[in-house]
Amino acid sequence: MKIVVCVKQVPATGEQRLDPVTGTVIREGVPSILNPFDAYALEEAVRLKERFGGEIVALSMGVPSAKETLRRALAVGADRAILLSGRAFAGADTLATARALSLAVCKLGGADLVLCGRMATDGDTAQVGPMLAELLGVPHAADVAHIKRVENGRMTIARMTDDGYRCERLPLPALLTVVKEINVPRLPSVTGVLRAARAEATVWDAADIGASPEDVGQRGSRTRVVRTARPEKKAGCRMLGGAAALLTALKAKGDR
Amino acid sequence: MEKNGVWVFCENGPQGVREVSCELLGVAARLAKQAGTRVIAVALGANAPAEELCARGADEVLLVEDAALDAPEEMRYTEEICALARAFLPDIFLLGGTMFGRSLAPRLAARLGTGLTADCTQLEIDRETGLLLQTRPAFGGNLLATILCPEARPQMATVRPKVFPMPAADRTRPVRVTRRPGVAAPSPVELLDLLRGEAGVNLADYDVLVCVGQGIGGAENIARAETLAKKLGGTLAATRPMVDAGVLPYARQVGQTGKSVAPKLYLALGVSGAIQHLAGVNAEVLAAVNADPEAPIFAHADYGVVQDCGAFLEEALAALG
Amino acid sequence: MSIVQPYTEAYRNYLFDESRTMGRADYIAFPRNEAELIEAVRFAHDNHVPLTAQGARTGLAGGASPQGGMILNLSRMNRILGIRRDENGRFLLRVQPGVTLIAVRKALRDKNFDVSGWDEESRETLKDVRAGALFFSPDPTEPTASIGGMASCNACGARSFLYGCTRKHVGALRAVLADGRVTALARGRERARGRDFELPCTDGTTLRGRLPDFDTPDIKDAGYLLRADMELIDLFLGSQGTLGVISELELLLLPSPALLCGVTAFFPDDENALQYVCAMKRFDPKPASIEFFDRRALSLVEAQKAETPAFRQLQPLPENYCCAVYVEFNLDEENGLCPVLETLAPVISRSGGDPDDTWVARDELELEKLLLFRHSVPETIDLHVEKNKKNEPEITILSTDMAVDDEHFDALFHLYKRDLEESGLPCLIFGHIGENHVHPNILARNLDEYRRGHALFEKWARDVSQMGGTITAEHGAGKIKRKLALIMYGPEKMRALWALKRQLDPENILGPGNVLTEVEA
Repeated sequence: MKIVVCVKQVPATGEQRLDPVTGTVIREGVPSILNPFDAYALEEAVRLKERFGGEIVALSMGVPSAKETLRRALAVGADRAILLSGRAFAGADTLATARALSLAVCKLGGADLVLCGRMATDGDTAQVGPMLAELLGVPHAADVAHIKRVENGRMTIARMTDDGYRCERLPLPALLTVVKEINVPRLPSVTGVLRAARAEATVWDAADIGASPEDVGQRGSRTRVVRTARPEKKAGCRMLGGAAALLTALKAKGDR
Repeated sequence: MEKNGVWVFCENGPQGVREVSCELLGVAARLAKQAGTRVIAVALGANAPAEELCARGADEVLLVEDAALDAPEEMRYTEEICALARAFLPDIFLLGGTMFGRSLAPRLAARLGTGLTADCTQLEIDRETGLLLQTRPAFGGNLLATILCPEARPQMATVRPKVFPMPAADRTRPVRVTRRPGVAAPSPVELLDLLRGEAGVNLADYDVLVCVGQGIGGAENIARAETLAKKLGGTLAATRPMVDAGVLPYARQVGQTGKSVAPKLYLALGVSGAIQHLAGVNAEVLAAVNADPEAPIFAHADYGVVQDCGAFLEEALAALG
Repeated sequence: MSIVQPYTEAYRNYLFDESRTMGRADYIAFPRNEAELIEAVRFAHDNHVPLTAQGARTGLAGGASPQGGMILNLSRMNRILGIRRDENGRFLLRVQPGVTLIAVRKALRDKNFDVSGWDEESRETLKDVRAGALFFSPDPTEPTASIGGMASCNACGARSFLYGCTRKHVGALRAVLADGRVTALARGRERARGRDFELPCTDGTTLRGRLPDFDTPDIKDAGYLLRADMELIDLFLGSQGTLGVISELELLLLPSPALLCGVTAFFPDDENALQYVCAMKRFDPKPASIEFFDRRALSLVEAQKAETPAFRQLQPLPENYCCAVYVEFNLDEENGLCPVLETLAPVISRSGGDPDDTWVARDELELEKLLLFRHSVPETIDLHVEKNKKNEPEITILSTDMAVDDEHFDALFHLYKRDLEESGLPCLIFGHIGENHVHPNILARNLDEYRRGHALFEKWARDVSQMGGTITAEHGAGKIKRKLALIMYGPEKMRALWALKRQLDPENILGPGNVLTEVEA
């Protein structure tokens, strides 16, 4: 089975700070990590490879330093890593990102299965996975919590819904976005880390994947961020002495 | 049927159309008024409650009436909805940010080649350009980003449940339904069984949420917090670290990566108040209990008590009898 | 109103610590500063009321549990008072004893200090501190421990293999003596002359005395430190509240390492693991910690996954292994991991492990996963003790923290294994093997097993004393290991320790029931 796992380098969570003067996000000195949700996709790929054999390609789009994040994927079992990087990709919204990824998957000769984390912790949109599935023309299941069976080119999965879980059977090729209930990601082994240290992600630019400048990056995006603002703060918190005082205050407010 | 309307996708849930869809009809009515256009409710399946949708703000229900479409499924829904969109060219298209909505909307946007903004918390029409101003928390709620989709149509956005109020039902509004035949071939995806369970608890169903964070102090206090929640007529919610630690199931997680909630009362016990958590809370009243007087949650709370959660719970349960 | 209040039932939680040793009290005081602390000690002194100082009550030996008299709770003395640099350029953080380790860590990490009341020097010095650039190295497993509590039992935790225990990282302290006087001591300043000592007090007086004529073991030890010509600050570090009450400390801060990383390796039998541990003790770079988990510890946690959802975040164990050794490295180079692993891989292979079956944590985030595994062992033990307690209320945790020197460790380890095997008791072994200090635990299911466990501990106390070791390397003897302390010291040394205590605390009001046993001459 040939599996492409889409991963993203994100700022470490909880580390995002704002410049108190300009209100912009401070990126300097903020460590980058592999999007935590992607680790589950990667682990699931490694487990599928252990069962069915095949190849795992880790695919990412980002700044050149994202090669280090891809090294993490190589350490836990990805066979190779591709990084889409270059000026043409900059400023991409989710659609332009999905388009670049879809062209890369095509250049790789397609895949039996594309796995994505449920979302990235920096953008929090959960859009790239389903968009990529659409652009590849394959079915997808989002928020997959369990791969139950793989047989005869079909995959039976359980996905989380607002009301519980739903089981579905998809024909391959397909794309899954996975939630963290699906597995416990492994840490790499000594051998894996050393192997990854010697390996190198392949970098592709827009021309490499046959993308015209109108397809990807800012020019391929349909949305524009026009302004950012700081959220309003509450007027002030009324401090109370204990539980009884709080319950009384809540009751008084409720009665009004 | 009129073109260039404001569309709302009406998602079928276990008890009929989901509430978020009706909440969006209210938003759409406001936007349509500003833009001088009409609200179209897009419904698929056999049991669309057209009267209800119109009472909540739809000027017209665009309906693909087919029992095979009762259960939401992305592939077939994409086919049907895109066929409708290509025929009637909506200007704005809003979808509820449910788990299904967040899976369907990107697929639709990719097929229509248009932009999509996830989890908007403010939607306005720009007076000068007539474009939809889509505002969402970015960078973990640190900033609000306003996003436009200047050229492509429709301008698509998802909105989490309970972000906007449920509009009052106006039963005097006319009920208009336009039926369109289904066009899609059966989906390659087979829907098998549904599983319920604890994962199915819906925090959105409760007016009162008692949320426990890392400062709650042990399993005993979580049990007491649950008792308190019941006494207040609500249920238990949790922060991400508590869920990550496996203390409570994901279905009870509130925040950026969990559920968005808008209860009447949100009582945060031992919750530090990380922005990622507060991004999912839109409560009428936020009360916080934390032993740490410096906890950031107090900057966002209406009421605060600096107290050990164990002592607070003891006192509160005693007071409620 | 006096700082000392009568004890009421509302203060029940202050009667015990993590060891669940239930105490009793007549008074309670919550001083917020040294003056109030002195007032409380004077009250005890003037009224012949014994007092037990307590911090965050996270101790495992009952040291904070009062045996009548006054609870002197220091948790409100929780301020960080200032920072300075010494003549060698090292940073020293001045704190009250009730501040918690986690508060100190957070303040240093985020450079977030409440500087109200700080002097000019501290405010100026703080300008030279970068967020996260400095850290306080002692790391007992429980980060909510108070600094005063850590100092009083010379706590250490896993990373003391590299950094040493709390004692090494306290640069100065102030202690309130039994009569309410205050002594201020700094490392490198006040020393004993031979066995004679003179404690300078802040009122200009001195307290003279003589140290016992023996040396305590020269290994990691949670008890008294006694040497000829010793630094007097060390008299209070490890004394578990029996000689004075620490009212202020200066903590020595170290530059934070650039990279924290770790490797868990698995071995087919304990002998392989011991061989690996031996190699790791000499490994370059020196590990920060070396931790061991035996087969029973591994399978106990594995079995607990079914019942404790939090443990399901733990990675499945590789098959066909008997035990595991976790080694942590604190490196100065951000890219230092690979060179370490290059050297480590053949060591693992030579010791019978497989570099393929290892868990590597490349940064602090991944390290949390390995630490979760480490912490899951004592947590699982707690769950078993709670369960067994339901059948037999008398049952408590049966864990030891004895230690010996390098030369005797293999013998001690084999002794533990043989005795446990012969006893047939349910048990497991894990812990800080790098410092020759593992925790054999007995999971007694009934009173018979519980008593046999205790008997075994007393036997080991005798064995360990003969090897020149200690019965408590990190938790302190407190109340629950007093019997073992007597076995270790023997009656003669115990009498000498009493004599020392009487010189500082003639009325015997400080920390009654901690460590010491009165022995007839």
